[in-house]
Amino acid sequence: MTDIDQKPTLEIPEPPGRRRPARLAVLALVAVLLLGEGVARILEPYLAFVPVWGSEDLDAKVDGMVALEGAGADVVFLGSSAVNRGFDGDLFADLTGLDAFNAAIDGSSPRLLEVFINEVVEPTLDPDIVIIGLTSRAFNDSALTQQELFDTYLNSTGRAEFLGTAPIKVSLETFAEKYSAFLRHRPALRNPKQLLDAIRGIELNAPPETTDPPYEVDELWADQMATRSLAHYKIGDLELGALARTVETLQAAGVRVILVDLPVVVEDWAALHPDGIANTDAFHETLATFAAEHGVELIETRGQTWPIEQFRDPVHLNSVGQARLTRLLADQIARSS
Amino acid sequence: MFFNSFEYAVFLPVVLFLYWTVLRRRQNALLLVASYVFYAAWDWRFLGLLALSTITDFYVGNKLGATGEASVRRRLVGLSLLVNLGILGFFKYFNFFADSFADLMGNFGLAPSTPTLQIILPVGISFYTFQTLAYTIDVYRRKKEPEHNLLDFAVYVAFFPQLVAGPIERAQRLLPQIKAPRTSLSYEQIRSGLYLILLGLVRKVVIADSMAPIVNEAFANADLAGAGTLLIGVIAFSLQIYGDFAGYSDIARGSSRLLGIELMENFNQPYLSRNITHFWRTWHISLSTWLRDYLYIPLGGNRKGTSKTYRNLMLTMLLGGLWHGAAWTFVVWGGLHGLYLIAHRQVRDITRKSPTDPFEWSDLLPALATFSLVNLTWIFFRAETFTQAFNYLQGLLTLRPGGVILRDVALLLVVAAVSFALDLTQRNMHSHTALQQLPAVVRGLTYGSMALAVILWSGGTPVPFIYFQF
Repeated sequence: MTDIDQKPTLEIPEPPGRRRPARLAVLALVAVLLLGEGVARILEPYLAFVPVWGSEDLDAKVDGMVALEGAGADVVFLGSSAVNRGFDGDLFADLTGLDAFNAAIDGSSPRLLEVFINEVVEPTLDPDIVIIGLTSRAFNDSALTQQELFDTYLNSTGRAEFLGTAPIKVSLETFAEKYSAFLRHRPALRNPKQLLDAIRGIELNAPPETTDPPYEVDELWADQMATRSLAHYKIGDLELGALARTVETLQAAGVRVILVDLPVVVEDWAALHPDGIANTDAFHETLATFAAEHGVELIETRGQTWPIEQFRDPVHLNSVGQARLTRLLADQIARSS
Repeated sequence: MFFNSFEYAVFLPVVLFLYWTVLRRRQNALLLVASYVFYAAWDWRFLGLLALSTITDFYVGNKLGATGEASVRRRLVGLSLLVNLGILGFFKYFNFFADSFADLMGNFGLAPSTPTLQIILPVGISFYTFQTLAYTIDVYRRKKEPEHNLLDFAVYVAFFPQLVAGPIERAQRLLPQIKAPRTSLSYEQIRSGLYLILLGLVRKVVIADSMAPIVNEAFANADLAGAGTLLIGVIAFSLQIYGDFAGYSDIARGSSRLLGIELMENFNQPYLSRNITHFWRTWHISLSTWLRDYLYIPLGGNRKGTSKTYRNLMLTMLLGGLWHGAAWTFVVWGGLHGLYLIAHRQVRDITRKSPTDPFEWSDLLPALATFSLVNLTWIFFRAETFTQAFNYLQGLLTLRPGGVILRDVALLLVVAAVSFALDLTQRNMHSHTALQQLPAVVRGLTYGSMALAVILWSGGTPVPFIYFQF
């Protein structure tokens, strides 16, 4: 062991003649950091949104729920983008007089919904009625996109922060990112292409469309759907099991659950499945059986005529279709109430 | 615990605070605890190996000091070699030699049943083993008095800033500093220590980590990628490994300086070297001097004629290659450097410049030639298999057609320019902390830009240092 007789000191004071230059150096250093922050703030509208929950839609939904500050909602819609496009919350509220919140998440699956409902929706909204909209995509146990979003959600800093399980490092980083645009947008700022696009003023966070686009089967979208969301189509226990647990948990909590077999453009949608109509038929039958077994209300739309003019693509309704489905649902609520 | 992690950003200030305040009279005890905590952050199970190596060499050193009988002294140093090289051999090379033996026998149509164990490589084992071995050999050679204080010796072996990736310090240099009371820390030490940490982070986080995706992509597609992509990939790797290791060394030196202990310089702008000999005097200096003093010179060095000098050079470099990793690709890497060094002995540097003389524009071509030769060897160093290395070389040398990603080219050029500018400034101002000599405002702007760059490239899970695996 070192025996130190002399009392140790930490000679922090700098030589007197160097104080002014040292201060200038520190000021210059701070100026550069502030400049970086300023530039990031100027470019921010042109930089891609940085989600903390795993996707922009998830972030928006959680922000919306938290903003209610415990006021809750009578009715909550859940599902994927087909539900986001399929229900008009304001119209529904006008028709039923109930507070509604659309908590559907683009790209989600029953597994993600199960966790999301338990961890976020139930504690913040405490709904009386939960309406879950489904298409055949929801039951595919082999889907890549659903799996990716599920994994991203589970590992997201937003979730860890919300549940209070985030390590100190993550909490500090999240806190700092909340106040610093430079920190928030690090991935985009170090990507030359995104940075150049931002400097050129290319708007990435574009406002949502206000008019309906014409019906279209976009080639890229269809390819993604066929190769990543519906590929190796297989109905098994993975997604169906998650849906069963969700329904049972909600029912046990006294929540009324309504399942909706969402409308699609049958031929175009089936064509994206590996076995076409056989896969979509299997989905409809499985859902009907599931609803009967679990004593859940099921609204089936496939017996009705849904013209192509009410869609923007094979699985997403346009505003006309959205209003029709919302009314249908409001009628169902009114009838059964 | 990585130097570029949040954990270290908390660990170091806590240690420094305790070290200079409440535990200032127990600095070495604190250093030992901190070093073992630092090491245990990876895997506490290997603390026993560290302690075994420490106690063995402490015991052997003291016994060597107590006896003059040659045969006993030989047995004692043999014991140290057995324990240290035994640990290293088992944990690092067991599977390598077992597999190589099986492959060799397979060539003769035999299929021996060789055991393959699931062995985890303890981090830093190659570094601390060489450090303790050097101590024992120096005591054996009577170049160093044995250390009688176990605590001081344990700190010498486990000193956390250099424990897992060097520099491999000699006892003559580090032990006296550990034994001496460290009563004060000057303004200059604080300033330059912090600067070295910042510089190390720039080298690691900005230079090395930004090159990693380009390198990974090029090597993963070694059989398909065009020559342009492969060329960019290997240059990116040369920048990555230099930034990674030199960055680590800078942070180690900066951290150590804040504890009042000076570590040796491990790099002296190696890519500005005019020839391969200069490269080895400026690259991983603590390893190259270790190999020189404990392997090359004992083999006879250059004192026993030309052919034996070449043999010694080649053996030293082959073993140096094997030290890096248990794979034949590392042996080939060392062998190529051995060939280069032998060839260079035929064409002596007519300028008679020293490896650290200021860099002039007339040095550019020889430096580029040396850099190119070194790049060729990096292919074997980075490749996971011979097949990958040969595919890479084939694609490069046959000018395999294929496009390049302009973003990667642009990033490589920017990073290369930054790395070159840092080295040039250090070389021509004869200081690793050369930027501190700039006018205050320029200095502040430079520090600010460096800090901004580190913040920009930070976030997520820290990328491990490449040399930790050795």
